[in-house]
Amino acid sequence: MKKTKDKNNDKEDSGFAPEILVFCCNWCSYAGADLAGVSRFQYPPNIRIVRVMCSGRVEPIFIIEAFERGIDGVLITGCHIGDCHYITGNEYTQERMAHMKPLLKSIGIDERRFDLHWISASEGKQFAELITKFTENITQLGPSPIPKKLGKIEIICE
Amino acid sequence: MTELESAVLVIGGGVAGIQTSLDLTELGFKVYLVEKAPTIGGTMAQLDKTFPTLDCSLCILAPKMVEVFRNPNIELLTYSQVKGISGSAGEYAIKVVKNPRYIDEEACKGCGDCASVCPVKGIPSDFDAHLNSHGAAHIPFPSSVPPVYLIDENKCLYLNHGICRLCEKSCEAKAIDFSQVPQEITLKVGAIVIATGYEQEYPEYYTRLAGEHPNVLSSMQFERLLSANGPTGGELIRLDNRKHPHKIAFLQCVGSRDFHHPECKKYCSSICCMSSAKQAIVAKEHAPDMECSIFNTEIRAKGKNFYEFIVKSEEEYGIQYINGKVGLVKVNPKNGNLILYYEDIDKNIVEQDEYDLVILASALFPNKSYYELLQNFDVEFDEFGYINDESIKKCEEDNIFFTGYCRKPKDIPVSVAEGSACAAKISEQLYPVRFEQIKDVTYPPEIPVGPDDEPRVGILVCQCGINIGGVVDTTKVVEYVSKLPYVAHAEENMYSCSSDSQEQIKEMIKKYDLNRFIVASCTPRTHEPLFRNTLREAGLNPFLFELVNIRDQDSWVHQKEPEEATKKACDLIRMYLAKVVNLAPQQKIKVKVEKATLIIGGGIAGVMAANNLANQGFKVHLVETKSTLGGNSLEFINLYDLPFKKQEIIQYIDELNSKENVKIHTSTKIVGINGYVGNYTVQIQHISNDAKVEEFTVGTIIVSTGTNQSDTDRWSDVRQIYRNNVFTQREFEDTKGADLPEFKDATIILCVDQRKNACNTGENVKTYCSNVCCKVALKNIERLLEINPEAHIHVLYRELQFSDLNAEKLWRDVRNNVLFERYRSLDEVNISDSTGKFHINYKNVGAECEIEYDSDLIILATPEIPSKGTKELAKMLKVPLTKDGFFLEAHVKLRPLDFATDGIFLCGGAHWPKWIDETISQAYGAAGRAATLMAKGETETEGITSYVNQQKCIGCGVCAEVCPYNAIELIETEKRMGLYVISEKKANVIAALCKGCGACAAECPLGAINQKHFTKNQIKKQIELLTGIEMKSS
Repeated sequence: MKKTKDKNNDKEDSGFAPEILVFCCNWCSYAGADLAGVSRFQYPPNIRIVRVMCSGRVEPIFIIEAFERGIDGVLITGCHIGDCHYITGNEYTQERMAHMKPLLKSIGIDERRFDLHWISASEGKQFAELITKFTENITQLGPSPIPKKLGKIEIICE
Repeated sequence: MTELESAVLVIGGGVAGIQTSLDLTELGFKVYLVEKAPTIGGTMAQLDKTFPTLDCSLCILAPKMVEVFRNPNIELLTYSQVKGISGSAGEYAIKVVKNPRYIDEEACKGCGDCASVCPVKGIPSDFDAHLNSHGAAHIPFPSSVPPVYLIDENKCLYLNHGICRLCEKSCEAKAIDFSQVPQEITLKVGAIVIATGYEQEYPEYYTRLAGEHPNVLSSMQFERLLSANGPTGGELIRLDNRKHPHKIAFLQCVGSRDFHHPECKKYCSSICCMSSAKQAIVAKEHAPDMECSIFNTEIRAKGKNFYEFIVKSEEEYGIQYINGKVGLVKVNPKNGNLILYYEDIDKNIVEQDEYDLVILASALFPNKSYYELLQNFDVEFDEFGYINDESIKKCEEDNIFFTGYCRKPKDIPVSVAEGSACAAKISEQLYPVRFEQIKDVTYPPEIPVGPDDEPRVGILVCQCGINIGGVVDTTKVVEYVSKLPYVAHAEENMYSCSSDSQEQIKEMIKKYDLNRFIVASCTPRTHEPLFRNTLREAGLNPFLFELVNIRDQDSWVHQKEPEEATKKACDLIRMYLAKVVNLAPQQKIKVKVEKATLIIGGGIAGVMAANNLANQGFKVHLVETKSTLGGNSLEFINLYDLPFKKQEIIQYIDELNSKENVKIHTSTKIVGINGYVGNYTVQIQHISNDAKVEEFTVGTIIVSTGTNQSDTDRWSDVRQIYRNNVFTQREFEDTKGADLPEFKDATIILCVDQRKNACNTGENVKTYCSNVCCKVALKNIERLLEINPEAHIHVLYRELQFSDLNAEKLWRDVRNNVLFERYRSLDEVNISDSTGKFHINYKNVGAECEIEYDSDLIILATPEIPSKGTKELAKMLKVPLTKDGFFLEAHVKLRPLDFATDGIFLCGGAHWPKWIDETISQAYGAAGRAATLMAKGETETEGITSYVNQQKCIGCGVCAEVCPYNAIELIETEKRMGLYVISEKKANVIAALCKGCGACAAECPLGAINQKHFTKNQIKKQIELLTGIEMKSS
């Protein structure tokens, strides 16, 4: 495996637990994640899911901000192309996120920390496998080079 | 007149019954849905994927199942059977027996603790087609509806031997009740729908197919084996050695279309070819090196773009189609493989080959469980075992309707359309008592919550018995979240979803003066509506709520890591808390629906839809470009193989003419349609040039523009010479007997310029199969033989598409007098001049030689194409077309009659070329769908719509471009700059059309458009709180 410039690869042994953000669309991938649960497919406890109605809602800035706050990995999941509940939402996701990896690279974030995958509502097993693999990859990459920032619960005026 | 009951009994909870039930409640009728299995869902719930889109079957069905479960106007009686029907149309008394589950349906939380302790094992699972087993306490499958367990009374140790009761001890919800006995219920209904589906069984008499061998599976067993929630978790294996198979054979027409065996079904089951093609593709997706062969008598692909699916399976996936029957299957004792001995008709040889798995597409036949119930109604069955057309008609007069496979062989979308049609027909009978038994829920006035009100959040952490509590330390979670900002109160409980918990939530809201709420429990996909409803009952806006998933996505997937799972629960609640404090109350917008429909196209579909809607009491505008109604159906010589005559259609048109609430606009074109669901403004104009434009408003629109037949350029030289002796099938309809030239030899050529493989050259070649031509050919043969009984008739064909019940029989009868000859490609069919006659020369499949003969007359089956003006109409309605120019429905399986745009529906040939009976069924269905909106007179739109900040908007329109629902328009606004008024374009969301996906919000370069409930800031805040919280030191 290629060494990354990320610090502390040895932290892996000292129990580095990555913090990973996963976007799930309400209709397919969130349902797939639920099915993984119903079927009791076990996967590492490092992901935190943010539910959106459609993967097409996810803005590139969300990904950038997540990395800025020191999150170690970001994964977007949605319906398979052609299955989108909103007809074409996931096609826009694919289009928008096509530039994400080079963009991350250009700002010094290993592009492997970000990925986009399609999970259908029946693919509980695939969801568990995807999370397991992605968590493994992020663990191997080590902690994000950006220090973690804590958040504030506050009211923002829109 | 008898008194009408405003309730309907639906027997059978498969997809047909589900669709009928849902539509009926929308139309204002209470529904009793009786299902003999412990869950609804039927066959479709067992399927892995559906053709031709390879959609995950359960994913598209499950939301409908939950919708049935939650609908307050559907009384779901599962594990129940109808035992008797008495009374008459309008006021039936129904006796239903509810079998004991030995588990209280209300109390059961579906946690599965009873099943995990049940010592009984090995009861074959019906859901998994006996490839799996369960205990005495079990649930058919995880997403069963209702999500309730039951105890098998024949296998339970306590019920049979008086010992055990382990489940009782394990059940925290105290739901086990061994005192239950069969319960008899009497229901009063005005109409009955029978939707009992089909059955499939292995034809025992086919001993030659090694049916007992573990590697010989039924098509349903194979479906389960492919399914991700199947017995192997979606791993495709051989059942004898659990190894991966490499070669699979699919045997079509097992127990059907076989006239040598008396027990064999004499008809085509209609869906197996497509189903096997689908399974072969899915198997190939499991392992790309898989070899799949489909042994068929003839591939029958009846449905929209089905033929192209078969072509795709062949060309893209390499599925091999072998035309021929398998005579014998032998087991290779060395390796357990199966040796197939078969004929290959195309190659004219007998072959043998070895396979890992053999899948039998056995005949399907109607479920007969309702037969005895109908004894008093004098119903008769046809020779195939299906209720005959005459009896269906008689039953409909008695308000008894049939839908789905139990009526005639059909696939899912046809069943769904027929379900909607049943609802429409019932509505026609019972509309005077609409809404009499429909529950209208009233809520207390809403407590206003504004942006200045300090958020006071209540949190309920659910233990879900031990499902969450056994892994996640809920006490610790409550302790942690209590300290977070804005949390006014947090507590834990055993089952948040139970009815007493709903009271607890309401009390909490009152006692702690809460204005927002979080439940941390299971999944919002099933439970969010329940809690939102509770909030409404407590006077809070239902959108001031978040459900945090700490079961399906936490405790269940981290069972061995309690500490990590507890931390995850805390993190998730913290993230969603950051969102909840920023939520604003949302209102679903109510849109008034004008009780009038525009029907575009006055063919048989339009006429039938208009009749139904008018009989339901709605106003109808029927617009037709031609000067008369009736369309193609009246131009046909006769309505072949249909239970009604042309005269009846004329009668329907006359009736329509006399109806006050129907306005017929013939010789009229549509010049403009604007608006949205409930409120469309339509402009029409008489086709004479300077006619005045007339305008009216409708709530819904039905497109029934039908089909046309295209012409061909083929063999034009010789056709030019004998112009009067060559016809397309439509042209042949136009001829009267006297116009026909004398003939001795006549030829019908099928698949002219259609079906990609049939004709690879030519400009107007369509890749699809028009589905209707083969049967039209039968009708034309009959006519030719009537004119000249001595005539020699040749039919040049590729594959005969006789998948409906009678066609097979009609063909068998007719072929005694007619030569059916198979060609491979139309390029191998040559027609030349033979002094006064056509000289036909083609290459025959099977005989593998060139055949030549002379013919006096030629009839060509050219493709059915969309009607003229379809493109322009689609543009006007802003609805999509398929690549072939037919209208594209919202969902090919479950919404065949809806467009993605609310308020617009389609039926008949506008959807796809089809036989008249199916067209009429779709017409009723589309009318029913339109009526669901108009019956109530209003419809609710999504609460989570997008909205525009007009100050920020620069009117670039990218949001409108990505919107799949045309919900964003650019409007002209005026801006005053000093002395000048500048006109600017701004985006505007038509809330009634917005479905709330948020794609526009992600696309806007300026952040000017946002999605309610999923705003940029709300999502950003969730992300921000993932890593942790900065706590103020107190």
